[in-house]
Amino acid sequence: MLLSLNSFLILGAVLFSIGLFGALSKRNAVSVLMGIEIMLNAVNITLVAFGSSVVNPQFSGRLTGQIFAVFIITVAAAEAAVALAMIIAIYRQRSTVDVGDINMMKW
Amino acid sequence: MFPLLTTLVFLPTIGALVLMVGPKGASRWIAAIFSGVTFVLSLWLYIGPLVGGSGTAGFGSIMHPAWSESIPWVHFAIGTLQLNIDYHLGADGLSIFMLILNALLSFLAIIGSWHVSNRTREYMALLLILETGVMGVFCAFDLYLFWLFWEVELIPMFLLIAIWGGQRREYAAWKFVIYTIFGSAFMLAGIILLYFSLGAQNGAYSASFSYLASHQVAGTYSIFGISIASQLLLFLLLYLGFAIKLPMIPFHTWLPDAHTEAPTAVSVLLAGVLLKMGAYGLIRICVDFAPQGARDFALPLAVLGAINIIYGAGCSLVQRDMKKLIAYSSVSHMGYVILGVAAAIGPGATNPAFREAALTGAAIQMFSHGAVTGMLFFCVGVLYEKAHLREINAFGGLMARMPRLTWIYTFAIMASLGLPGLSGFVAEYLVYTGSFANFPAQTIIAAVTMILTAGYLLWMLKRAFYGPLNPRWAHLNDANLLEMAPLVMLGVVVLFVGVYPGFLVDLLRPSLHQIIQTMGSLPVAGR
Amino acid sequence: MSGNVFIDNIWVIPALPLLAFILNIFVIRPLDVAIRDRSHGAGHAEHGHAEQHGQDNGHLADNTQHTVPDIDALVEESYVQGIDDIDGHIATPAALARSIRKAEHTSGGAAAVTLMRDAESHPHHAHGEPTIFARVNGYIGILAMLGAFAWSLGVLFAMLGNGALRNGTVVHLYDWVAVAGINYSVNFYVDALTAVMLVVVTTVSALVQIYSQEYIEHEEPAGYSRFFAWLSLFTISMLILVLSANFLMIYIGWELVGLCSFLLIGFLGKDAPKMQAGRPSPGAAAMKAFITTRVGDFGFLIGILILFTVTKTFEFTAIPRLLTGTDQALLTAAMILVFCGAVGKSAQFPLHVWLPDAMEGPTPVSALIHAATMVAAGVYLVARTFVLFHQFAGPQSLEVVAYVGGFTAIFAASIALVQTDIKRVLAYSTVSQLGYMFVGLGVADTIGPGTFHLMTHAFFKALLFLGSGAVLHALGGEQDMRKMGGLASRIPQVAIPFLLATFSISGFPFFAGFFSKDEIIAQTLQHGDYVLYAITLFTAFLTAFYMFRLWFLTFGGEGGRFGGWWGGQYRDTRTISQPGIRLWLPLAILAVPAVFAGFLGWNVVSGGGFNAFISAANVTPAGIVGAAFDNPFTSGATYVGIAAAFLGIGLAWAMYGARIIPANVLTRNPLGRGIYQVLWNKFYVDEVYLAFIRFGIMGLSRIAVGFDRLVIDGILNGVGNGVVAFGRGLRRSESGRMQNYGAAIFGGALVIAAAFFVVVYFNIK
Repeated sequence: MLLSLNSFLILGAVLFSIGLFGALSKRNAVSVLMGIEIMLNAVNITLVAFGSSVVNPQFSGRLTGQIFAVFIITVAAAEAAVALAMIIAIYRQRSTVDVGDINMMKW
Repeated sequence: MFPLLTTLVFLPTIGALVLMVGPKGASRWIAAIFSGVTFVLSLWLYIGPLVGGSGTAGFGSIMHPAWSESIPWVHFAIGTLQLNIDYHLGADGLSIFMLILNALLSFLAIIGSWHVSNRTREYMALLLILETGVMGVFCAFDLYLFWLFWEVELIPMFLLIAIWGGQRREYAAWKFVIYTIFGSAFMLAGIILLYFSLGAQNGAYSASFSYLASHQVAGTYSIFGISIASQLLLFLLLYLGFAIKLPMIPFHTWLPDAHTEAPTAVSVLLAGVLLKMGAYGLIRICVDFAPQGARDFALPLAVLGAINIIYGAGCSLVQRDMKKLIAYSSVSHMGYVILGVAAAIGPGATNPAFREAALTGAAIQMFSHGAVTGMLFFCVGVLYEKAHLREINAFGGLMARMPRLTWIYTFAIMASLGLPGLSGFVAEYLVYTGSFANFPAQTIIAAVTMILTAGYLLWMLKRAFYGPLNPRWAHLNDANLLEMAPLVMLGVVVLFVGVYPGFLVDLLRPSLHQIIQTMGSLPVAGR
Repeated sequence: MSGNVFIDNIWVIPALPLLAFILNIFVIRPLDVAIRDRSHGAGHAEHGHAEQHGQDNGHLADNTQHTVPDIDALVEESYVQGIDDIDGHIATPAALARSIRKAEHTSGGAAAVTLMRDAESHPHHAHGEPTIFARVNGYIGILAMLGAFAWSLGVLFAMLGNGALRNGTVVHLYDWVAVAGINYSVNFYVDALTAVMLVVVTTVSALVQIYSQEYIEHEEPAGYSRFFAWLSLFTISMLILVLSANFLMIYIGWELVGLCSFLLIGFLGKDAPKMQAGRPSPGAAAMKAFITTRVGDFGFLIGILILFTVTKTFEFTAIPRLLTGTDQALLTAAMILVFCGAVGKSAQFPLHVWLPDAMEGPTPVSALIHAATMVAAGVYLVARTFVLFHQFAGPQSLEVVAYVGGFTAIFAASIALVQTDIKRVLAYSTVSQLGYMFVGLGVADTIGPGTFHLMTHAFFKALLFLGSGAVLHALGGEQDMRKMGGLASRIPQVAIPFLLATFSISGFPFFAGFFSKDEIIAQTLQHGDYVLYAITLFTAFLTAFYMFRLWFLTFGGEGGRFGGWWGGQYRDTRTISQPGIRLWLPLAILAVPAVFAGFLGWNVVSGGGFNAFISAANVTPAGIVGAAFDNPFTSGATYVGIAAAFLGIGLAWAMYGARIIPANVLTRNPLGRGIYQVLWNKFYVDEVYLAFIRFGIMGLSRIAVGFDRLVIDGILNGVGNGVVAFGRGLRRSESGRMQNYGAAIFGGALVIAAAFFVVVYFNIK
């Protein structure tokens, strides 16, 4: 059975919401980062789904969505590396990875 | 042709740059040399057209300024909207007159600041940059450029007050800047509105003064369903910026604070040229570009001018601080400019000669007030440097210790209270004679004020300089030659203008005549 | 252009003193100051406190150096505040007395008052010699004045020789400002009136300058050249005023003489107020003079503006032509306003208050400015614009002139009755006599009677003032007549001319004052103005009384010869120094016109041609012929006037000369004492003004400042603080927690999405 576009979009939305909830609610910086990764991947799913669908003939077969997804995977990797490095740096400085305690940018 | 105006505008900035890289000990000399050269060059603005052979008519008006330099600067179009901003400098009689005053006062301010020892280099550099800003305002012939210079002048002024000022300097500096920016925001709105309305109306977009003066906006604008004559709205938007600078009541309260806190030379420049930017803008921009709006607003303007005059005098009467007294007297004296302009643009079938007399008086008052109040501030500065006090009642009998200062101060006070033979009288008398026909009641209020003016100025003189010497000041020395130099130079100018104002009037006539003609072409009592 | 060399080059007359002034200020005075500083430089180091008189004031008598710093120290402690409180604005005798009482209650103040008293009764003006350069300045000033005098005589004789010249010549110098057909021109105008004024001004000026040499070198040697500079400046201004051809120039001269009056009254500006004598400080007096006259100038200016707006010209000669058909009520108002200027300058009620205080100036100044010339400028102004008053304005305008003058005449004379300060008596007498002149202008159809009195008064009043100055000089600065007496036999060279002038002002027959005053009284009668007739007649009696009271108190008195007329008891112990020739010679010279000038108006001697001469000027209304004055002795009314004068003189002699009637005869009963108090306090006019200024004007000003600070700045600071407070509250939302921000972002996105959905789904437009 061929899954419809909607199924992928719903999956993407659900994943995104889960990721968002994790990013916003977790106190541990690593968990927040994981939430963000989930959100990115939710977007990837959505992009690939759109890319392989034939809703808009103008974009079909051009692999635009897939290319975007590959980009995002690359960027997400870099982002994860930088973010983890920052978390480690902060941990070394302040002995905590609790985002509630990291408020250096506050007024 | 040698770009004289550009040189005048940017020579001080070059001076400031040289100052920053030059040897620290020589900063006073460098500043004095650069501003001195600027002053000498600025005199050519006056002499040039005279020796050019076209006589006094050669100073030109806003349409055909005697000096003009133009380089295309920003030109782009989005669809039918075009943005055309030129680097356009020009100088006709009115500008020349203010440019020379600015060059003179800046030079004297630098000489008068010889004693400043705290961060001298930066101080001098800022004075020079200030000179650039003000020069630019007085010779910009493109409305956007004008606005740019108008804003440029704020920065050095803010720093000068905030760093070298008195005890409440930060409050005063912020008040000055916020007031001014408040006004210039409306002014910018007015400028943009004027530019695009006129462009849409005539199909040609230009912010050059001659274009704006020769084409007038017609019709009405509708804002939130309220319909207002376009010219009146333009006039009000533009004027708000100038009214604050002038300053006109009720936008004047920055002035006493700024004057009181600013160092002497900055007070001199503030009173001498910065206030004149407001007056200049009123005549050059508001009246020239929105004549019908100006006429519609003439009556309120005259009333406000008269209030300015008497209110400022009343406030002066009860001041205890010498500088604050002089600051309020500035409010009073600038009221004559407002009244003069109002009379020149007023409704009613007035003889154009009266209009021209009033406008000439207003323009001469710009000059006179600059020179005379400059003298007064220098005098107070000399005293403050020695006594570190400005409280009038704390002095007494200084005549015994400081005869030179006493007499030059008396001279300045006499000039300020409008003694014949000195420049203040010329201005006031022309304003009186010109505005009586249009606004008799306001003129009478202005004339009453001359009693109050004599009252507060002479009372100050009497309390500080007459009577037995207060022994506390037995150690004071008289003003030395360096301190006297700017005073004497200004004194000579004030006296010369008072005895023979004709040369100033010749300089101004073509510019002002242009305005009077525009006014004459409007429908009488045009409401 | 008239073709006459003197008239066409009339600018020479003011140019001569101008030259003297410029030489003085810019060339010679710097030298004077330089050598004075050098000779004085050493002295500075030695006595630090001697600097009370500063470097401007070279040589201080040794014996005063010890008391001076003491006073200052005490003043510093407790007194200055008191002085400033009252002297700060307009000092009045009552207020001064209050401040003394206030000071006496403080610890240092009482001692200061005592010291002040000493200092006051022995004024210690610096003694020394003016430098050679200062003296040169004096000589230059005098030479310039003599030159101007000669030129003025040239003008006068030219007019006597050629009647056509009397009608007036306009001499155009340059255009001050010219805008669009209106000229603000610097023009001079010379007619018979000008010629008379020129001669009067230059004569008195020259004599006063000669006199001042000796007077000032004792009074204030350090200010010697400054004094001559200001005198020259005054003369320039006065000549500009007299020569003016238009309202612009007359206003310029008008204000400039005010400046000189300010500078010269404040010449001894370092002096403190003399509390005991009820005298303000020179600085306060100078300020008061300037400001009070400015009140009048305000009216003058408005009057000028009305005339200018109607006619578009300032020229005296052109205005009448252009006025025809103008609303008469407007012109009446304009002329009354112009007269306001005269009221201020000529110290008429209610603006008379400055003139008595102006006596704080050196006496030569009082003679020149506050008796002979400047105060007469108001009379000159009315005379100059007489056509406008008489012909164009309604009759009310001249009535105002006459009644203000008449009221002032009797008002000031009544105050003069009780004053004890010799200069103040003369000051009130001046005010009173100026009132006469206005009566003369107000009732007569020509300017003759008023200007005639102006001229004679200038001579005899200048003489009286210079004489009183000589007395002051002889007594070391004492002005209180109660401490004089019997001086006639001690300084006869002063007493003789003084007596002649006293006779003249009192209207003794055949003296100058008799003719001019009688003419005015006769005019009131002729025009059927019986109220003014009664006033002027009674004032003549009062004048004779107070002037001879002054004479007997000062020069005569008990024990004198001829029943107290000459010499007698001297009521003080101070030694009398003899005035030198430079002091008494000007008196002697002035005595000649003070006695004989009246003959110009007596047709028995001169044909009485003064009126005809001066009325030829362009100041006589059309249709009126300036005939010669009548012979006074043909009218019975004259003898009534003479009787009034004799009565006054006799009464004064009986009370103060022979002491037949005790001097306190009138003040024994409560009513008399009350009247005396009122007169002594000058009808409390000063006090009323002071209250008005302090509570009215200053009160309003304080309200204005309060409005500035509370309302305008209140709104501003309120807006500012509001913005800041808003920001302060808002920054709480900036928690610094990324998750909150994230929640806000996505929450916001959700809201927008929901809104978008609603709009699209329900198709809202």
